[in-house]
Amino acid sequence: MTLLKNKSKNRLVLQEINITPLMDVLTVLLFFLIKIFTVNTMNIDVPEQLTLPTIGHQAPPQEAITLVITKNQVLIDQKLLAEISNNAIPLKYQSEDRLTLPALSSYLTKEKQKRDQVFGYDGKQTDLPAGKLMIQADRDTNFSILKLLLNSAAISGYTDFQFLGTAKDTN
Amino acid sequence: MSKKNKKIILEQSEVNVVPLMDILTTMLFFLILMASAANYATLFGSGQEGSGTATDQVKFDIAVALHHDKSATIHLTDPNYLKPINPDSMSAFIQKRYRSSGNKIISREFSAKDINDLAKKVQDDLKVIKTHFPLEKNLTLAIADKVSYQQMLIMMDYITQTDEGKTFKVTDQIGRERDYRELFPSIGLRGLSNDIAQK
Repeated sequence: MTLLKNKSKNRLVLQEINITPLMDVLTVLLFFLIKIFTVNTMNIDVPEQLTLPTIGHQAPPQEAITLVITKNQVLIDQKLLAEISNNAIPLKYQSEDRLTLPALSSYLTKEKQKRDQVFGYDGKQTDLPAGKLMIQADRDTNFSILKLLLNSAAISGYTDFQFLGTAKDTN
Repeated sequence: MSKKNKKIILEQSEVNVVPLMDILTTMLFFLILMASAANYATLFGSGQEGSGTATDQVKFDIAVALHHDKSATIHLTDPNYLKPINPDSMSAFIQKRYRSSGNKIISREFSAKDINDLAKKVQDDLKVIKTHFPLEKNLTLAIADKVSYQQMLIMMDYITQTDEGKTFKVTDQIGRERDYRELFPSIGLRGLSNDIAQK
């Protein structure tokens, strides 16, 4: 007697997901994103409380000392220089002639001295280009505040200004 | 006799890509997050006032005074004392629109409903001026205290160059015609004071 063992097993065929195309796509995306980051080497930190204006043209930012003007404060390299109230800098922070901000002038003068010391050995210090300053300001900041700060910077030898904004979407 | 067939099954070894997938996916999301940050752009300005080319003892000077978001004035050295590309065309242009402010300076006032409209009107005149003085790049922008940073940048935007695709024709001194977008990219900034705003 032959026992027939009906071994009817419901064999479930193991389905394997083919992940090769997914790997291809992810790898390409990864290299693409790494490429974007290597092109743009400048790291810009914009404070959250600051709303930048929009700019139509796309000139990329250059390395420079950063001056931040929020609705309440003036900061340079994250150090507080002055406070702002009612869209103006109080008189106690201004110079006697009301034309400059002494805290900013002295900071930039020291920075210029450092730069002159570093590069002065290679040639005349008068041949060095003007110091660069990047301004990150809230879009509603009055020009009276900017005028005070730009005057202070110009006196200290920083006359090359970059005004940071967000690129306008041209589409 | 039973014959047992022995099969030697070689286990197929596969590379375990699961950890690699984990890392790639995490990196991808992280990089997408970083890349979605705002795209920054800059405009350049200078604390030194621009100075133009000189003819005899008169130099080309152009200044835009921004009084507020609806009013501006262009001050320009009278081209009759300079050498524009096409003197007749320049003369006809300024006679209709500009008036003398004295001291070899001519001026024109603009008014508009908002800053964008104002900047566009100023740009239209700057295009004509640039057509006759294509080598000039310096311009002084004098700004009133109450003008906001955004308004200042909008005006600077329009002064620096025209929008992409909106070129204008410039004929140089040897008769070559070129498409230009650049207007006056070297902008010297100053506060609005009486010697600029004087009528």
